[in-house]
Amino acid sequence: MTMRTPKSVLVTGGCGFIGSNFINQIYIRWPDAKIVNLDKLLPGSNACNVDCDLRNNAERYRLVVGDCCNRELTMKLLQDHQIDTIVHFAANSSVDDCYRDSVGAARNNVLAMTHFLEVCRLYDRLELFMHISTDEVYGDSGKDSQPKMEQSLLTPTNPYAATKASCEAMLNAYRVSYKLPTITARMNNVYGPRQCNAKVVPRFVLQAFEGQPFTVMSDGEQLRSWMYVDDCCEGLAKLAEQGRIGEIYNMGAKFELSILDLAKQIHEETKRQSPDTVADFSTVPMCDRPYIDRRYHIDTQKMEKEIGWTCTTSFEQGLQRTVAWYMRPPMDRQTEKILIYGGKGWIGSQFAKLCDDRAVAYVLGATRPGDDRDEVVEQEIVRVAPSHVVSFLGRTHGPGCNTIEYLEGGPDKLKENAQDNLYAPWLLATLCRKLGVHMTYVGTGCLFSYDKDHPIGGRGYTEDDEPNYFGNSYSVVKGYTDRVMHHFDDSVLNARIRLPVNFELDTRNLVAKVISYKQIFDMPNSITILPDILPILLDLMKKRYTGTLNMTNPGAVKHSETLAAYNRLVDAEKTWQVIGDDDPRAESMRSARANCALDTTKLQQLYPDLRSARDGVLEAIKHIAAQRAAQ
Amino acid sequence: MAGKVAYSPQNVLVTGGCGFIGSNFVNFIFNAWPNVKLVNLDKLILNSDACYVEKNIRDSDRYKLITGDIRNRSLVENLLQHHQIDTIINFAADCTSTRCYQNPVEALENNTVGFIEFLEAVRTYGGVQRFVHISTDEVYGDSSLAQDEQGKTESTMLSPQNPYAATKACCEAFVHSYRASYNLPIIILRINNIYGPNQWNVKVVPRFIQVAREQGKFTVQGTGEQLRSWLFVDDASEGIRRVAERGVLGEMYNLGTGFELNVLNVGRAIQKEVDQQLGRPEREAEFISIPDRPYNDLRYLIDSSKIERELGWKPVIPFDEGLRRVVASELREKKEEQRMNVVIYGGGGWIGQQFQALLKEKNIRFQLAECRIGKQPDAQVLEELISLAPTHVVSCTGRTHGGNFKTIEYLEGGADKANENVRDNLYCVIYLAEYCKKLGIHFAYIGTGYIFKYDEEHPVGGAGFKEGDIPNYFGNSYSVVKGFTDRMMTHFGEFEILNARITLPLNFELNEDRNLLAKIIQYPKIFDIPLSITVLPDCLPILVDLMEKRVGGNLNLMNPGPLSLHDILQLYKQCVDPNLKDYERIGVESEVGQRLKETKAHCTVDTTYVQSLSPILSSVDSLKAGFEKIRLSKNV
Repeated sequence: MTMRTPKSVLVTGGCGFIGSNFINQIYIRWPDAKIVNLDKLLPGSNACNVDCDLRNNAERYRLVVGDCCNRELTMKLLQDHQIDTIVHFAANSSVDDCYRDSVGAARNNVLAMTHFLEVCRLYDRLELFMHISTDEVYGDSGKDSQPKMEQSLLTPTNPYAATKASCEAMLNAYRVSYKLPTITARMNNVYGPRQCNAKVVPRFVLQAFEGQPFTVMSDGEQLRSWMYVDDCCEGLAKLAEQGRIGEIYNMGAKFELSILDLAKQIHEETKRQSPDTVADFSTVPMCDRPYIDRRYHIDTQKMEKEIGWTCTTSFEQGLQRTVAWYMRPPMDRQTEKILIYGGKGWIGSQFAKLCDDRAVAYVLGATRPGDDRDEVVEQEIVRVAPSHVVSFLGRTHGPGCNTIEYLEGGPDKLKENAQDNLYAPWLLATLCRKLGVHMTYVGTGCLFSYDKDHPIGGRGYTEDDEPNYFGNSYSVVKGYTDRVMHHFDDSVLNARIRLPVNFELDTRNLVAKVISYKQIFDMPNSITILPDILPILLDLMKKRYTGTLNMTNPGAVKHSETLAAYNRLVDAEKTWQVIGDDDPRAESMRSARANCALDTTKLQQLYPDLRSARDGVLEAIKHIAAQRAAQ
Repeated sequence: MAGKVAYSPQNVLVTGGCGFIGSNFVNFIFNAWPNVKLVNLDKLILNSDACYVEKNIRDSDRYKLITGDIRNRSLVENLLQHHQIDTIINFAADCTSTRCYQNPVEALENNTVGFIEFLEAVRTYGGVQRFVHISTDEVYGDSSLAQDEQGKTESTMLSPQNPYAATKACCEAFVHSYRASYNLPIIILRINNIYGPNQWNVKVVPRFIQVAREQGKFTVQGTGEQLRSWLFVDDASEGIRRVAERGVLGEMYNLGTGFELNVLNVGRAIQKEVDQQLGRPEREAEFISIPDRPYNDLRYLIDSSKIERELGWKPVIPFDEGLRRVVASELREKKEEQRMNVVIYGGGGWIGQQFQALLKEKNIRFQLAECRIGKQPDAQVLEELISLAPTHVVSCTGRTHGGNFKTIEYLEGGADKANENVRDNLYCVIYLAEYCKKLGIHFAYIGTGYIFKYDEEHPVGGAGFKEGDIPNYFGNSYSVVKGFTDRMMTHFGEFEILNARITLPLNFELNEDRNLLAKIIQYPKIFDIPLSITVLPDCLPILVDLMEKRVGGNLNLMNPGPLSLHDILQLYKQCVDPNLKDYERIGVESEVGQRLKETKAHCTVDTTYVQSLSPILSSVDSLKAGFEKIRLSKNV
């Protein structure tokens, strides 16, 4: 048997559960190997799952944030690091996600991997491509049925398992057609430290620890085999060293336990370690899936005979370590790396500051989308390798003109307008979709005006409404941008904000502006209180939320209300005039701006505690007053 | 065991029923199931042809063709509901291994992702009783050439060895999961090598018949000793029928024959049959070897005893009989074809009308879209697009004039003009590109080259602008917006989305006031700078041809060889009208000329690409030919 010693390893999905444990283990096991970790930081992954020692060892370890579908990126990684071994963990392993969106799951797991295989084929210097699969590809096992052998039929019963069986089919085609040196490991359920909280073992531990009832799917009698993650990683490392190229290996523990019994054991172990917090054992049902496999029963003899590997950690030991790990204080988290375009603008810089405050990793984009050639922008995204892109780009003013009137004029103004307000965000959305990066477009709600279906004080415009205000060139172009963003409903967050307010004495802050006005045109409008909305925006990004969302605070505010509050709280002497409907200027003031209220039901469902626009304005005035007083 | 009482379908959806096996199945089953209604959903790709279905069926009330992609969920849900479909026979797939090798990701998108969308629609509908999914023996991988090699049975592990086979294995994985999760009543049928009428001529049998007819040499991949089994398509149709009627839900069945021949022997048999049918002396078949595909599967040997045992099916048509029928069919003259169902946006405009006329002349089916994109709600536009069920969409829309303005000056002005401009020149196009891509429809946008002007790298007389160049002319609002549209279209390139740039379009109808030629004859001053032009009577037929081939990407659709308007008029004077009234010629070197060159979108465009795709006359030759026609018609 030949022994391989990997020198330069690319691990995909290495911030996930098994991937990170695997990296931590091979760092010691293969002391001369360089490790590159490619991970797109899906929810549940954490860059800090990889031990601190590694993260600080730039010579031997490098994290690159990105998707396997990003061919430019993966080719560059393979070449730059002279990768000889790939261990491919990356996949969305949430069965529920895959049920919710089977097509998306196929794209995420199978198409992305096929892109990656194409790159591996062209690179052509791999010694090993080890693919991590699952026992779920076999489908259900009956109570008395024979254990599944590696050559058994694959009859997956859920879409997640179908994506994994599909990955294997593709891999097989590359193995035969292009002599790709593959090994496939089909693994049992794995448990241990660093697993994301949604999975059953950590879920039970946390429920026990919090004195909650255990949430159990189906009747809880379904059997699973449980492999401790350290055993699993050792097995994978041995496979990488000794496994026969082209072969498939089942990997697992001989130990089976039903979900209900698992819950009981976890309850006991948690109670042992933390007697004070754990309540009596009880369960509640949780929403069922369309189908629950009764048992995954695999035969692992091939692995034992050929590789000399078997699980050595007893379930009691494994469980004890796992429970102990989840009871420790939470570790550092790095779950995103954001590339910000327009980060030096008024709102962009506030967002960057928020990221600073929250220790969220970010990079400011240096290229100018639309102005630079598209390849240059794409190269930047590939080079920076973000998990998220957010665009605050937009043109609202320019030299000699502080308002959107700047955009009125000839072809030169239309070019700036179309380039910065439409093309640039569309380009970023297009590139991000292609490269598997989550994208947030900070757009505008200034696309509507009150009409008979949406009167003043009546119902607001929803996320599905199409722009109906075309009174200035800015709103016209932004209106089409909003409409094209609806084409990216599954990859882009289209955040409609409008009339932004913060708590500073700032010339772009709406409240600061209004309190300086002597004459006002008094229509109620939806506004965005940035100190409320920007943290929500960041949270939505972390959750990889997509689709259009009205991001204004609930309710609409009139300038006169703002000024009245100013009178009350700061300066009773301040006077102003309302331009009435009979004023000759009224009509042009009405038509030059989008005046409207947005429906914020969707946002309020997500964030029920969000304060009203009116309360936000009061807060802003208080802050401004304090700052004035301090001056 | 197989059902004792046969299931009896009422309303059957056949997908891919204009392809090879699908059309033969439709032709077969129409009579075998004399009371069923057949709906055929086909996107007419590759070699599919609506006329492969026999005319009496096409004319029957029991048959309906709907053109479209199975990934189009709304279309599929609507038709399942509308026709109360109870039975599905799913043939639809891109079945060419070579194409799948070139772009496995696209193959996966077409064959697997499209199929999952289809499963989702079927699951949502909920009324299907039987769903026969047609798979391939290639999912097993190949067999050895040994005499005692056993055929693959249904319980053999799958080992797909090329990307096409892998995409089909992926479909099977999803079939299993939808069967378990949603109880979809699916049966998998794995069919092996089939021959028969209506097969694409890249496949061995029709290709060989062609060669035999021309008495050429047969090309074979590698040694030509690959053993293949040969099942006549009507035998396969009978097998599919039995599976649909009596097959056990959730089961898999192999469908094939133990009859094997290598391609050398097939070549010999075909040469003999063709010579006989043509009444010629028999000729010795000759072969030449071409390189193999990256991995050429040697032999697919499957065991069909299950379907024989359980459903009583076995092939009954001997090879020489099958060959006789297929040769007869191939040698028959094809009378009709229908490979497209085009929807035109902006069909009422000057170019749109010419495009309509061209499609009429070519007997290509088309419909005009009524919705105004951007003006009407997007949902309404989408509903129309889906209900029209096109295979191809072409956009001749665009806003170049309006009101009292006959030129693009119309678009200069305030927000209202910006709105019309962005809506009609950008949004409309991008909307169609996006949805056509999502729905598996080919999209052709008639765009413009009016986004370039001569510059240092592209001087007068020098290199022209290429397909990959980005706009450098922003002198008017029209060009500004069209420039961004062009850049956006570039990003759709890898899909079946065609951005056909035209410049200075003209034809030879002098009574059409939007025709450049009609206009310049009246001009008092003419700027003498070379320009690329699009002679529509040459270029529109090329566009239609490229649409049929489903070509995507940017395309400079101009005649080769730039000409100045002065050159055109002089040519006109020479060929048509010696009394053409005088005009003032402005040279490039003059001060006015220099200014015009700097401020207008004058350019030469590189036409190498279009020339590589299609024969096309040079501007001069094309004009001469057109002028000659004008002269002749005037003389009449």
